[in-house]
Amino acid sequence: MQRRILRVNMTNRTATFEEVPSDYRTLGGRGLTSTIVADEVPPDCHPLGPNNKLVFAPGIVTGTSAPSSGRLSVGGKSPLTGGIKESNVGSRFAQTLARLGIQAMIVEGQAKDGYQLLKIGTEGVEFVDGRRWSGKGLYQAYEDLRSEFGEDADICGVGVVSERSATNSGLVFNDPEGRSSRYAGRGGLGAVAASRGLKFIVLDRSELPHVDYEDKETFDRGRQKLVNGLRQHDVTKPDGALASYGTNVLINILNEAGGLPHRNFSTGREELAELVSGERKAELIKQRGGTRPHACHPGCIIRCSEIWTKENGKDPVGVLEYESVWALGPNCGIYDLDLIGELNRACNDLGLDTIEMGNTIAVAMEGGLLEFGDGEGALQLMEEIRNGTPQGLMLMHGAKFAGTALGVTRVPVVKGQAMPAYDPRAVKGMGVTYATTPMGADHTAGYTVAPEIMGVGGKADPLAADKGALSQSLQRATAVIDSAGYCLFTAFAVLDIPEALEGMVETVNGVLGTSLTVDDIDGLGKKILDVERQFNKKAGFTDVDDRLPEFMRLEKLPPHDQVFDVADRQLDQVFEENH
Amino acid sequence: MPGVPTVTVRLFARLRTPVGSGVVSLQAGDIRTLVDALVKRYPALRSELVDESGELRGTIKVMVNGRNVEFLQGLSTPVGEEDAVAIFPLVAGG
Repeated sequence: MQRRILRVNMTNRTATFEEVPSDYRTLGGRGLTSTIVADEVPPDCHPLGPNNKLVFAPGIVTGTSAPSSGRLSVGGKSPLTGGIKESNVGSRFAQTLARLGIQAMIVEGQAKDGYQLLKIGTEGVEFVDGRRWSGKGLYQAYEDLRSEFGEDADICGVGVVSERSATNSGLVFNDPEGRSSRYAGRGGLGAVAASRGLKFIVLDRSELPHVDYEDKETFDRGRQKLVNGLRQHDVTKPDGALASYGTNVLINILNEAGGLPHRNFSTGREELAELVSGERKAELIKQRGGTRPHACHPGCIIRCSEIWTKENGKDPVGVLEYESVWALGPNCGIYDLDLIGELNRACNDLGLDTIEMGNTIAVAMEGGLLEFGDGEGALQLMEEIRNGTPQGLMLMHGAKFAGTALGVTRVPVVKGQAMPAYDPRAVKGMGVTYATTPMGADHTAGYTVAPEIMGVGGKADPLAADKGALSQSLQRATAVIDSAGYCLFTAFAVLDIPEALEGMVETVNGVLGTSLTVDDIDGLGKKILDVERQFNKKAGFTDVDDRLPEFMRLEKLPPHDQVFDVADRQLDQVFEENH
Repeated sequence: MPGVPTVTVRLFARLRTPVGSGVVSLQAGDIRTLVDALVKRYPALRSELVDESGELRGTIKVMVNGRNVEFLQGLSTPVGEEDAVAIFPLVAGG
């Protein structure tokens, strides 16, 4: 099926299919969302005003039989950072969008008369009055939507916090069982959707066409090499670390390395961490009859996901990712997986990004609103958010906003976005990535943890400060993987197995008819990052925005008693030159 | 063995299965002798920890007091009763 761009104007309630401009033909995923945002969104616009746009793009190979490739990029100007944002998610929604022939969907304008639901299928686009789902929790809303539009529908939506313009608000997508648990969570794009008047998108999967290939033989050859690599690597193989324990397997190794932030980035290690580890969680899931492993979309052969339930095996939450467990757990001094699961459930139901929310609670704890370790108190704060109380309204805008409101100076954010689960004083390459990525503090932008802690894709001492080149090359490679549509976890195999990387490139060539090689990856990634950096510069960002919070240069982090000591000049060089 | 310290070793992820526990105590003065003692006591760990030539697999991470021994003195890194030794198989996530 020929790929097209779907432009949805919420002001006029029109949906038009456009030919893909030649400049965009070989772009997908992040490369495409960032390019469209840079081309169409004025960098100085208000993120929730009439001129921002929300752009959805499945990856280049998404919708094909390429393994672990059900990824979607969502882009726009972020209300959290004030810069360009692409937030990435794994869901069948991405595959369905690609199979509908939609290379990108641009949502622009602002609805005049309340929230809309967009129903998209082979028959076209229908606008449905979405007001009746306004204010509902997302778990219930998704059940209702599946009853109305079919159990097999794929759904994207925003929660009650997006309706209140929260700068911590994500876009939620369905997991394979239809639950509202897969998030393009970072950067407040949920509020961008709601401010367009977009509440839900429902994809009708009946009579779904298949994705076209320019060169199926090359695609199949590449696919097989990649499948072989994923099945062989210790991390991604069928009984490997990710399938056995999920992403949360990282709790113990980061804690041991002194890089797992506890109590708002006060120490990098605590003995209690074992209580919320991947090993412990896998054991509990087995005891409760939950599901482990589990795939976030059909065709994923890594299967890092799971279904976490209450102690009685009921009320499934969905997956408890490492980042979520950490943010809502150790970072708040909470070491109880059931409490963390309920906090995660509340985030999923309200439409909140768990990383930002966990950091916000930790900052609130630092500010004296409640004690570190007070899980019940944290759950009460989630109810304040649900009910829209003044305190809830203060907490839904993220860690930076809460820090300002409560007079806290130790606020772990870059460009206004809260840090993920690696303390940059103990894993210094991550500090370079947090500081310099155009996205604000984002671990997925250049995952130096792989060589620094795991020994994947090379080996680097996590406490050594010379990490500019490492972060640069991983940021570029990541931008390409995010554009191809592969899950970032495929990188663990392709970084170590050259044939798998070659296979990945061949799958892209097979879909596009291009003749890219592995050597092209760095240059392609640089181009995407340059587009994003230029947008941010025009939005007013300077070198000062590429810095970590001051306290991380001043306060030593136990147990290694390290500060973040990467020179500013080295941070600036990440985008100024080739290392 | 008199004079050789007793070291507490913590094992993680799949390395716990052959041992049936996450913590063991062994007598060893450095990482090389510690790994040798470990596979001698738990033969099922051998294929996880060392390759055909008996060398520690590149995928195994041994940490002493939170530092990967590859960035200390490798297998010659000394250990004593006060040291926290942890051994991980290849794990990743994010």
